[in-house]
Amino acid sequence: MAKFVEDINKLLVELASKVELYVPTTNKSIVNFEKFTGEPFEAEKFKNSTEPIKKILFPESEILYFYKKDENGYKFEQVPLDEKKKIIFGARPCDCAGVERLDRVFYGDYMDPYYDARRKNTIIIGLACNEPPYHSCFCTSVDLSPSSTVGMDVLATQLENGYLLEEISDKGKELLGSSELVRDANEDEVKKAKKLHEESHKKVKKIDIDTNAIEFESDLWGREGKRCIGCGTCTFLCPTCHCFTIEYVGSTRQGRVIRSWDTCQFQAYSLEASGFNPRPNKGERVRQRLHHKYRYFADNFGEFQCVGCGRCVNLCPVNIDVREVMVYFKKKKQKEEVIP
Amino acid sequence: MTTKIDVENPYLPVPLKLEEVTEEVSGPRAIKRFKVKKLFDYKPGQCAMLSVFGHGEVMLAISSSPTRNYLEFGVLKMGIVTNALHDLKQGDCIGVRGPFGNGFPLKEWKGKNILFIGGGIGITPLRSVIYYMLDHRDDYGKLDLIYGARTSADLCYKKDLEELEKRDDISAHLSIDVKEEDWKGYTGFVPANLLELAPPSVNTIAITCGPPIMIKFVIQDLLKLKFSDKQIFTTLERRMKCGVGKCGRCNIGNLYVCKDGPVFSYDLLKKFPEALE
Repeated sequence: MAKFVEDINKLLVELASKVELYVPTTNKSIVNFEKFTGEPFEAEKFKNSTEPIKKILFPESEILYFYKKDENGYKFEQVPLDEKKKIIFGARPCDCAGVERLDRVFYGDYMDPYYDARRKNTIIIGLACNEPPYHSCFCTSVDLSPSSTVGMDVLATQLENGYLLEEISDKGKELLGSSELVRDANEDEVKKAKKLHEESHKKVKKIDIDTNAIEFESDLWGREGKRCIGCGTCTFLCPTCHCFTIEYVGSTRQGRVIRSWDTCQFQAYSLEASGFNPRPNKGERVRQRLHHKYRYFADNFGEFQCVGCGRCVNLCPVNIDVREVMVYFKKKKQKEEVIP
Repeated sequence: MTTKIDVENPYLPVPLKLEEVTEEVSGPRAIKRFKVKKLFDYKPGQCAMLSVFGHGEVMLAISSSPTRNYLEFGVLKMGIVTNALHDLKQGDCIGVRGPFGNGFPLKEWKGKNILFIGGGIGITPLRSVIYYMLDHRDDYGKLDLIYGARTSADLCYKKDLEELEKRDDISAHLSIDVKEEDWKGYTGFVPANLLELAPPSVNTIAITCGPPIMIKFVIQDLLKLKFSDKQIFTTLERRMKCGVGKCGRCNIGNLYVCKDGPVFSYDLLKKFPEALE
């Protein structure tokens, strides 16, 4: 059932009094999810955050364990897991879907205890895009939409007189049931939100991504590789990219083992001690990123490892555009089908 | 891909004392053998992550057979961690976590002849299978080992090789790349030795491990010898950090070498153009 809250900021103050609440926070030209300070949230000014919400669940760098040498040899000590209750408010549907993609990786065959602790203690309140925030948005091309609920516990939609709050998961239902500020929504409010969702969906420019059209051997990779400067921005700002490195920091006597984000766009990422590198050139690394997102992940999980947020398009310093790459392969395949 | 593995923390190693450190090969491409207590049960072909405190972790093939009561690794001195490992002595402590990966499908191979083709340090995963099969000798047909290194000094596990050469339930065919006086084996590259010996492919599985360039030519030659894609197996090496299919770097197609490999049939690998470059 859908709920309704008139003053979202009153609800945020209430939530922040109970748990750690993260909301979109503007700092000069950067908008990111920071701990709520009481500063009112203004939906009109918020498009999307510069970085996705990924790092709340999977920080850029974290300590996995400590090691120490004593008279009996070495000891390992796992850092206490981060089990703080958290709520994220205002994450866009693309970024919430990004969390669902991360779940696929960090659960799977082996459960990652560090991710699991944060994930199961976090409630995500998504915020529908009443207008696609950027012209680089392409969520509808990856089977999502400006109001999709993948990865969310609650979907919020801003209406004229308040916010419609849709319960998506049990966690979300429990959360909304616990607040006096929340009432049942009426039919009119539900209809209005639905209309906004539909209109916004139509405004997102859709491209046709055809997994089977993406070629492995193609001149395109070399061309894109020549433009690429290998900075890794596309992957560090991606809501779904999860690659990391594990490094020892310290002496032989004591220290810590940390995990930090890494990127397949770096040459050293796959460089082996022997000097052999399976992906020595930038073109091969661009190919790996896109094949992984639109082919390999899709083979394993039936969905793209891309949520169409458009950050990699917007923020690439040399304007590499995944949408253009996908359109190029689709057109090429169509031409070949006509003239075999 | 679907079996959930119940480990509380797959990143946390167990500290173990080095029970024995043996120099196998000296010189610029030194190889040492490290023996620790048998921390877990495993299958031949599986790997473990070894950590050297203050230096880092390295994923290594387990070179001992699970039929023996210890874990052993053959390590070529190459990068930061293996260099640090080579500086350790008996009684020093390392971290171990594992086992990782799929291992060889040994049960499916019962009754078959097995042809091992190794180069250099690539002998390590083969050694685990060889001793497993020698300890279950009746389950397998003819066993042949084709193994080579740059020079006779670079041959790894020389004592084992001498012992294998004396046994009559396995044939060892050794080679070195360049001519040496007193060398009784074959002189030339491993793929050339394979073509010379031309083992029959009937009811035979070929397993090849070694440097990427050797694997590439060995596979070409096995195909010439009428081995089918499904009869050829290899192990792949990639840089790894996590061992559990999450850190991303050993990705090939929709697979991860650390958890879906390192053992692959050529039938599967040929679908991934990047795998055997």
